[in-house]
Amino acid sequence: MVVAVAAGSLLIGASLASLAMGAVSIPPRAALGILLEHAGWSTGLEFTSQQDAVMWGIRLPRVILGGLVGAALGVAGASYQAIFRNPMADPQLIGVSSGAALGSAVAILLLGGVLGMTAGPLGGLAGGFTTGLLVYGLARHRGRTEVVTMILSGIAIAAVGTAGAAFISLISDEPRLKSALFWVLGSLTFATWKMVWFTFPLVAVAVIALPAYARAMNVSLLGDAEARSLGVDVERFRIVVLALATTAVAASVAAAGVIGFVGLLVPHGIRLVAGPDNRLVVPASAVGGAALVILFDLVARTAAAPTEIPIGLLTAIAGGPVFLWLVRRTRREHGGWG
Amino acid sequence: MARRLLLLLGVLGALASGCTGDSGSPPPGTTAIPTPGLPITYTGADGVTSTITDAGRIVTLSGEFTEIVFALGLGPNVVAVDLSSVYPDEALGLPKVGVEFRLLAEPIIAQEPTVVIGDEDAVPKDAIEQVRAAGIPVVIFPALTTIDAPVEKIRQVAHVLGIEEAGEALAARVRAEIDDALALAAAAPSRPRAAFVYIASAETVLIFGEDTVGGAMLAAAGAYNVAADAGISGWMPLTPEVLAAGEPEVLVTASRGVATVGGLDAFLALPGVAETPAARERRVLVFEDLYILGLAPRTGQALRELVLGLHPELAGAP
Repeated sequence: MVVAVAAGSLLIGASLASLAMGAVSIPPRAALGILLEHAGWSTGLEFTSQQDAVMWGIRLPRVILGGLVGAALGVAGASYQAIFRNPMADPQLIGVSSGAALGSAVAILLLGGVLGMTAGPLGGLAGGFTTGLLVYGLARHRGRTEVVTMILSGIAIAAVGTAGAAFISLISDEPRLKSALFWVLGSLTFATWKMVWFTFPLVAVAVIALPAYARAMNVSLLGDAEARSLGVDVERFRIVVLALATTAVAASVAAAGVIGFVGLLVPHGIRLVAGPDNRLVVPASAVGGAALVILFDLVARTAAAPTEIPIGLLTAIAGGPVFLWLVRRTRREHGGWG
Repeated sequence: MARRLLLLLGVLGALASGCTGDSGSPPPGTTAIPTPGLPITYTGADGVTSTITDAGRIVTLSGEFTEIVFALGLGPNVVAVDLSSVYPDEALGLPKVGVEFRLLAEPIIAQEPTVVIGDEDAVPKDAIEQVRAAGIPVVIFPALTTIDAPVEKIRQVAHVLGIEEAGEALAARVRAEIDDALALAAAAPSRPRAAFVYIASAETVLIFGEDTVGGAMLAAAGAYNVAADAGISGWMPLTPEVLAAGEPEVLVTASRGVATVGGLDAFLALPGVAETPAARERRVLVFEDLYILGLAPRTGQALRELVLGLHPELAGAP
């Protein structure tokens, strides 16, 4: 409960800070006036049309998209870690993000003319599902996940996906495709209301549905036989969770590129504070992920103004050491990687 | 395609300046130069029609437009520029709004411009739409890469800023300078083999094809562009062998790239460059980036210098 309140407050605080900060100065009263105005309630609070364009046209969609992307990565990270029964499963590390990036880039390049805005998310879904199933198939062996196989497959898939997306960025003229950095380090620069509406349903489905499987995730940690005896259809459960989590990741990648380590940082942070119960970890990871990405994006767009730092750079700087710590801890607990 | 080079310049500029740029409040006490021809309605290369009613606060989105606006005498009206605006010196001290190929709307809006000018290389379009949504006209000119572009661009900019008269005067001067340089090139008996290379980093050396700014400058200056041998269009990363096989007698390049690799000797030692006749004879012409590639008011002078560099036999010509 304490954790839920803390994560929620962090999310609200991060959103307000991000809405308040930027090159154009918007006092809180003006900001409130703008938001209420768009909610259909004309207050007497004064604001300029310039402030309105910045708040409603730029900052708000960016904060919401950041929240959606963060929620997707957080909830997917927690879910992957449960179904792979491995603390190191992360959308980027197992290759799903890069697969989605490649799928998304290919679809925008080849089908962008026909499908328009939907090309990115659809291609991302195709690429993400393909890689998710591939890694799952490769790493599952006699009912357990081979950690080394999972990580190595992820490395190989990520290399192919990243290289493919970078190649497409070389040959394309579309701005979002043209930026190789976008696919490697992510960015919320392209946040528009349209992008928010395309991303929202895919992330919402995962964030609402995945917590319903939290009990099954807990039970499956005991082992497949025990889980079956407790009435969990283990294979079906894993595939459904894999599909939901991958849907969220693919949507996030299509909207904001590959932002690494969020799926690692957030669930582990929550487990450190609140313990391993997935009934809490899974939903809290969605909220915490949203808060974290909004905060990182605030730094990304203000620290080096008027240009931006790629957000994935910041998450990697924060996430890399956490990953190393996990490696050390896992090694200590399991006595090596052999 | 060709203008992407200037985008690269922007990146380098951003790195060189440490990405610092004041995005705060407008400088106080500046008196705007009047622009009698306004208001004007103009349909840009992106098909968007904007009405410019006031040129008192101008934001430029690339170095060449900054140069043109200053040359037109409207420098005091410029309130912010992009990071590739390195000329004239007065522009260096102005607030920066980011780089042309990775624009952000909010730093632009924060400058409270009355008009924003750039060309088709300014992306992403979403950012431009966001600026327009704040009620600020953004004029997008076509991205031109021919030797006639400076004259054309000066006229267009002067038109949308409501100072056509000043525009015609500047355009006529630049036209005459370019024509003189072209005539000088036409009088040259030789047609040296040349390559225009741009160094993005020691690993990335780019060569200009015929349909680029660099290619247009070479052709106008009466040189044979060896990139044509290799069938290169646009600009592309160079494999060392292509340049060596082209056997250029003269190399033309921009100064910032030379500085990036650590000076002229380091440049001449680069793989591919070192094997050319030009490197052996040390026939390298180095120009400031925006001067040689801007297609702006100084292009006539730059072209003349290039012609004389390529054709030493013309030395002493009027």
